[in-house]
Amino acid sequence: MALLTVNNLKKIYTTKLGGNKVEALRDVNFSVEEGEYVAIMGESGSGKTTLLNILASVDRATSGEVLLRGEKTTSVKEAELARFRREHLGFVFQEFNLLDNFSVEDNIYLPLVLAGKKYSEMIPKLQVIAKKLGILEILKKYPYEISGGQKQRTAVARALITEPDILLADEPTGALDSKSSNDLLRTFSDIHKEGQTILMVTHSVRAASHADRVLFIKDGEIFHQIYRGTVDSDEMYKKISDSLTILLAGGDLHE
Amino acid sequence: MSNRLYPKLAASNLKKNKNAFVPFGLSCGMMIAMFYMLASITGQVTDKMFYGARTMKTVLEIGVRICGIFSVAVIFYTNNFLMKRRTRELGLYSILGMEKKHIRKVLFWEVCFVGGLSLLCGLAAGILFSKLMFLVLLNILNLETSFRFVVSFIAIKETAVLFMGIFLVIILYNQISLLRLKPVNLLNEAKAGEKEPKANWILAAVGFVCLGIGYYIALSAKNPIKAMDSFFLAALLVILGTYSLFISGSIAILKLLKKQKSFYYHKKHFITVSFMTYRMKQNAAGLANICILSTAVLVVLSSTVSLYLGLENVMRTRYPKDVRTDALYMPNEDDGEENSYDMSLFEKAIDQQCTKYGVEKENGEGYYALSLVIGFEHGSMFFPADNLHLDSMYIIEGRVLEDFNRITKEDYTLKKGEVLWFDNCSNQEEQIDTIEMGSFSAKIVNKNKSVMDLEKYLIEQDFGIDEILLIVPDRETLVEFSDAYSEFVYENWKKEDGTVNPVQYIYDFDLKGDLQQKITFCNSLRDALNDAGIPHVGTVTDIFTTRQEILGIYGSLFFVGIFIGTLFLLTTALIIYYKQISEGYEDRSRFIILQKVGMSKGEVKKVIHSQILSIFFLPILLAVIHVAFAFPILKRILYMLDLTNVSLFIGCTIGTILIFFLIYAIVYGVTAKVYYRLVNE
Repeated sequence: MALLTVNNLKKIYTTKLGGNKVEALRDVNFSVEEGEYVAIMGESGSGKTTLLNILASVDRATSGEVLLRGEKTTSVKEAELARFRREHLGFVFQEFNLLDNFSVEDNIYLPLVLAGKKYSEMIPKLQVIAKKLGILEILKKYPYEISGGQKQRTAVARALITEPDILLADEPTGALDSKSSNDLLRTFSDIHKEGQTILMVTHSVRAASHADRVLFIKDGEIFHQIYRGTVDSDEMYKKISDSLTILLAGGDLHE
Repeated sequence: MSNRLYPKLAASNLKKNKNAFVPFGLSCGMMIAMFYMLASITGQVTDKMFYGARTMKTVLEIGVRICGIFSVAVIFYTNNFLMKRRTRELGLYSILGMEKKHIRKVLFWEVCFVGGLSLLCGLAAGILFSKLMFLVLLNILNLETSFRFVVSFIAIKETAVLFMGIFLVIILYNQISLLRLKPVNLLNEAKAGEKEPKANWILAAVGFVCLGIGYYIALSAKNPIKAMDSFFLAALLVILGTYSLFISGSIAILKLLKKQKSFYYHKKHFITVSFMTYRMKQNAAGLANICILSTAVLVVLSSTVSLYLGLENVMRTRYPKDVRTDALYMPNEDDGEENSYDMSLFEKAIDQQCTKYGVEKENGEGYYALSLVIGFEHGSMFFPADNLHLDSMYIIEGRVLEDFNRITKEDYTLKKGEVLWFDNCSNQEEQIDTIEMGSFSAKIVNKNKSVMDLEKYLIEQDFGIDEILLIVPDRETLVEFSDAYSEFVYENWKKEDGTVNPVQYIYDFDLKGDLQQKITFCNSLRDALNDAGIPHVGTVTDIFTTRQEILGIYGSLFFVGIFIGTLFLLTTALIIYYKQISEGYEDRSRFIILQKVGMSKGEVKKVIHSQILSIFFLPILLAVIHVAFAFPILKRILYMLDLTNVSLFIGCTIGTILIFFLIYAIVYGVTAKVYYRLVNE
């Protein structure tokens, strides 16, 4: 059974006065296997952020369903949503979303504290993750004292410390310079090798080229997908570029 | 741009920022209304109204002035806050192509709208309610409500001129702060991230020490004369302590909490402790202000209310009976003149006077009395020549055995050279069995150390100083004692100042009858006593005229106290409201992140409430503690004003605190709601 299954997902936004309806997602179907590293690509306005928000259960779908380990996330009760997100999902955002009044350490602890874990349980977890992500030295620092790359690794640590079923990343390299981006992508590859399922939304070809599989979304539908197979990331990069060119050309024809 | 655009733009700005402008306008309106009411009432008080009207008018005039000064300060503070918060919005205007002169016009119209509207509404409300408040004042003063009350055009003019002046200055101030506005700075409003506040342990310790000393002084001040000085010293120390405690003590405590890992890393404390650390850094001074303001409100209100409600208590302490008359008994100083010292003349003269004015005398009581101030330490007496000895200062009340037995219905006997001793001293430990003072010496045959009911012995409680009651065998001994005291003072102090107290014969009585008759009775009583041939007539005072005078003072103090207390409370509420709102904007992004990381809306709400709750009630809680520690010293000061009813004072203090909490809680409710809405927008 797939870890994450998305069936006939549809999202229609209605403007406040009820006049205009905008179809953000038309009919999205895909699934993610356990331990897979999937990238979703698309232009701005293609619906990828909407899709991620629904997967993250921040937003509700108009129709269709999302199954995580066979459980319907689209029908989790409002009151339990926060707990559900905490226990099953990890998030990495473009803007890091670190709390400036917490030290790096406390930022990473945050989801565990919210989950009501004991301090003694938390310490070993932090040590393992901080070591893996190379942020052991900056644990006592505050977000304004560290670089963008370090901030994003802190955010990754915060997402992973709860051992989520799936790591959802929204443009994780969007606010980073190219060196930090590469470092982060290598980190993603590393944790993926250790078995972490990752679903990343991006429009960076470089970022997507690290994934096992790339889904292209356009006008609210999965338009195309490519598998890495056995190729390395440089070749994958080329494959993605080609697909994007077709996608764009198709887009031009469409208008 | 068309000129009609600016008022329109200003109006839409006001609408958009109604969270900030509505409280501003409301508080301006309330202050205007209160100022008008106080001013118009003060204008209507005339000397003819009643006996104490002149003093009352002075108190009210001071109240009007304080009210005005306070309004200026509050309006400026609020405006300043509004401007600061809007720099971004104004910067946006200038980026969108508005020149400063255009923004200036918009700002001008904004103040015009808010100011004009609040002035109109405030004056209207003031006119509407001033009559009511006037009736309240008359009621407070126990006066008939037949006085005519008219709308005071002078007061309207005064109010309009003052507040229009304030608004004008605000317009100017805003123009000047606009000049300093640089749009570039606004665009890249750097989110540098604040440094974590450092705990200043030294300052925190200084704060604790200041507070401790202040509290100690307040608790240990025994002498009421010194209490005044001590009170100011203690207040100063407590203010200092409050500031440093809020500024560094709070952060120090939070840091300590942070170090308790298992406490800190707990769902309930983690976010609150961390957010509060930053909160305290920005708000410490503001919270300290609130704490001190609240303490001031509580102290002023509770003591004025107690003084007013305890008026009868004050009067009875001062006047055990309605009228007091006395004459000096000094046969040794008469220089050949023959005085009979027939004290029964008092009764006769007073009875005659009663028949003349159609009033009735009751409970007449005549007795000899001697009242001396003495120092008493380690069993020996001395004359306290300076303030250093205030703590060992006592009042000795001398009485003659015959009078004492009659009044108290006791049956003591004394031989020559013996005295009875009673005291109400709390800290008099020495055992003495003889009294020696210069040439006078006597054996104490009965030393009664229990706290006595002084009123029963017809002794006034002066200034709450500890008193010793000495009963001597006869009036000659009393004179001897008085003479010995004079010599003693002269030897010890080398000064013949007005401190020599001769023996008096006091005649106290109550009066029954029409108040006006009683007052005319009292006004001519002195002449009647002189005419009756009583030598050296001293004091002739009565409760009736004094009561009116005191009522005028305490009643108007109470009235003004309510006004100023309300103003203080309004200010406190405004400060805290604006603080919370401005933080709501800052905290928004944090709460959004928290929700993204997996916090539910309910949890966010809980965190918000516990935060606002602590920000709100921390200063008030400390204020209540301050008041509790100030209570003993305040009690002594009120004692000095002859208010001896402690349970009344306790009741008034608790009542004031409760009302304060109630109003405060309402402000809290509103603020929490607005804050939550801002954060969750």
